[in-house]
This record gives sequence, structure tokens and C-alpha cells, in this order.
Amino acid sequence: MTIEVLLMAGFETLKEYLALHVLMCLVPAFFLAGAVASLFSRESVLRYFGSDAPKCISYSVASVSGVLLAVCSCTVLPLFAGIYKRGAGIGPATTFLFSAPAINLLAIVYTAKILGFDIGAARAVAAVGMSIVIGLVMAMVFRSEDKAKVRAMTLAVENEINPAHQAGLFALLLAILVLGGIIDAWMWRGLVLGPLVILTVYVSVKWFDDEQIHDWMYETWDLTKKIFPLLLVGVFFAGMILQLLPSDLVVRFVGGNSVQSNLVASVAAALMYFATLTEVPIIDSLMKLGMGSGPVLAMLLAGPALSLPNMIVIGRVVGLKKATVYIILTAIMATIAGFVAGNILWR
Amino acid sequence: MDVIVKVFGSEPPCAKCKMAHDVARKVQEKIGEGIVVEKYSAFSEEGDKYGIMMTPTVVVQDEIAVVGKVPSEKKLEEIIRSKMKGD
Repeated sequence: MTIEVLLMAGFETLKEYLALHVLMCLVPAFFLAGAVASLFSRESVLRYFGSDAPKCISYSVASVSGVLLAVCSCTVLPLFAGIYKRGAGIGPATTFLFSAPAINLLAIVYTAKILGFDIGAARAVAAVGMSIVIGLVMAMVFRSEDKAKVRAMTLAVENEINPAHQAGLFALLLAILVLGGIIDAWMWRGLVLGPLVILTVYVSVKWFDDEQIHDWMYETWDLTKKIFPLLLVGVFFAGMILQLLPSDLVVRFVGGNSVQSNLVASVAAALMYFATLTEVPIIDSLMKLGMGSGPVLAMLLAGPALSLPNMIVIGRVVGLKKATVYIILTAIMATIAGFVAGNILWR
Repeated sequence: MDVIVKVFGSEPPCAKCKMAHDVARKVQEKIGEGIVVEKYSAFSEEGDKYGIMMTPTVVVQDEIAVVGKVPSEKKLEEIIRSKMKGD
């Protein structure tokens, strides 16, 4: 195989991914993520991670708050360390650590768009469910060490944005995102989305001041700038993988829905480093080569939650023993999720 | 007495934490004397002291001023100046 063939394969895939319908879903998703990062009050969520918050609330909030808190993966580790050392402890901290990268808005939208709605939904549901199990197991194994912590964060930061306005904007942006994905005909898209976009612009100007809108646009652009180039590189590689990797190899190791395939997918994903969103095109290529749906889910769960660089930071924050248990537990849970979903949903 | 501005950043380093530190340095240059800008890891003992959860976090004179975002120069300057007056 020549280099030209490989490069062409990369470019072909890029072209496919840059198609208008894909961009249509990514653009509103970036605006939504930018709004979440800049306009939404995260302080109110952080409160539930304090050491005095009821445990069941800490776990539930930790399992879903990734949607609001983890727009970019670089916020996950400090929050994890914060919850562990200064708040609710190892259980909710690992719950957050596992679910957050998997349920961030961009990741779910993109997974559903590229790999299919069922896999996107399964990813979100499994990430939330598994994360609570992982947190509870961690808390049980290390219960004796979960003693009083350093004082929790005192939040003196005021939130000047009206919650109703936050919710309104969120609903509008979400509507644009979802309707843009559902409606196929261009005429209907224009008729429905046009007015919605105009309404969104109108209420944004009315509800938020210049500085807030500036922050929002800045966050949106910042995220796009950070994520998009890496995503293009990922897509390019995904195209090359399609040419390089023999299909029978993929089928042999991660084809079907056996326990072994799921385990291989999960462990391989844990060791790999995926930049935000790049797991999607790469897994898409593997799927085209014959990867089973169960292993796809296992890889989607273990991949963003673990990588060699983040294992090192996790180890430094919680110590070798806890980190080892967490890493093994994550690989096992991802395997189980892939196996169960693969044999029930996608037989 | 000097006003102490502490900027807490993540590890591995994140772009915004660096920007927050730059903003603090700019404000320091602008105001001149009387400000000390310090940089810490969110995972350090100093981070434990304030219970840092999101980065960047900027602490001005032992009080948390900004959490999870880069402060504008204007806002940080306001906060620092009000602290300077308070002394």
C-alpha cells in the first residue's frame, strides 16, 4: 500500500465528516457548550459535592453533572481531586471521574450523530449507571480511609444571572440542536430553525449584558479552537486505520459480543489517549471493519474515562492503591456494560 | 501590606489557567507596587487550604474571587483595588 493511498483515505474520510449535516449538529453543540461554560452557575452544583451534603444526593449529582461541568476534559481532574480531598470523598469523586467525560454534551451529540442514536443513548445511560456502581464500590472498599477532609470550598462568588434566563437559553439551544438533527428536508429546516435562531439571538441580547455575551462567544470560540483541529486529525487517522487495519484482525479481537471482545476493547481503550471527541471517528472506523456493538460501547466508556496521562494524575491524587482499584474496576465495568448491552440491545 | 493574588491552575497545565495568570500579571504591572502574584497547582497543599475545585481559581487576599474562568482585567483590577483600600 502506498503513502498516497493512505493519505487519500484520510482525506476522503475528512470530506465525509465535514459534510454539511455533520457540521449542522456540531455548530449548535459548540454554542450550547460555550453557553454552559460561561453563563451557567456551576457554584450551585458544586455545593452538592461538599462533605456535609447527603451521600445519595452527592452520588446522583456526581453522576449527571458532567453535562454541566465537564465541557472540556481538562476540568475533570481538578474537580475530581476537589471532591475527593475537600468534599464528599472517594465515592462521589470516582463517580464523577467516570461519568463526566462520557456524558459531556458534545460527546453525546456527536456519538449519536456518527455512530447512531442507540449507541449515543446507550453511552449516556451506561455512563451514568456504571459511574454510580463504581463510586459505591470504591467507597465500600476504602470506607475506613474516608475520614474527615480538609475544609470544603467556601464559595463567595455571586451569581448574577437569572436562573430562568439560563434555563430558557438552554432550552432554545437544545431545541435548535435536536430539531436540526431530526429534520431532514432543507425547506423545513429553514422554516423551523430560522425563526428559532432569530428568537435565540433576540432573547440573548435582551437577557444578557455585553460582557456575558462576550464571555459566551469567547468560550464557544475557545472550545472550537481547542477541539476542532484535534478532531480533524482524529478523523484523518480514522480514515487511515480503515486502510491499514486488516478487517479479519478487528473481527478476531473485537468482533461479535463475547466477553473476550468486550474486555479487549475496554482494556485497549483504557490505555489509549483520545482527545475530546476523537474517539468517535476512530471507533466508527473500527465498526466499519467489523467491531461488534457491545465492544463499541465498552470502548466508548473506558476510552475517555481512562488514559495513561490521566492515570498518572489520578495516582498522584488518590495514591497507587485506590488508583489501581479504580482503573481495574473501570475496565471491568465497561466490559460488563458492553457485554450486557451487546447481548440484550444489539443481538 | 501587599495584596496577595494566588492563581490556581490544573495539572497537566491548561490554557485558561495560564491566561488567568497572565491577566493577574498584567494587572500587577498596571497597578505597580503593593501586589504579589503567586501561582499554585490545584492539587497542592495550598490548594487544600482554599478547597479548590475548579481551575483557574483566583484568590485575592485569602478570598476566592474567580472560579472556573479567566477573569477580565477590569474585574480583577476592581477586586484588587477594593482590597487595597480595605487595608
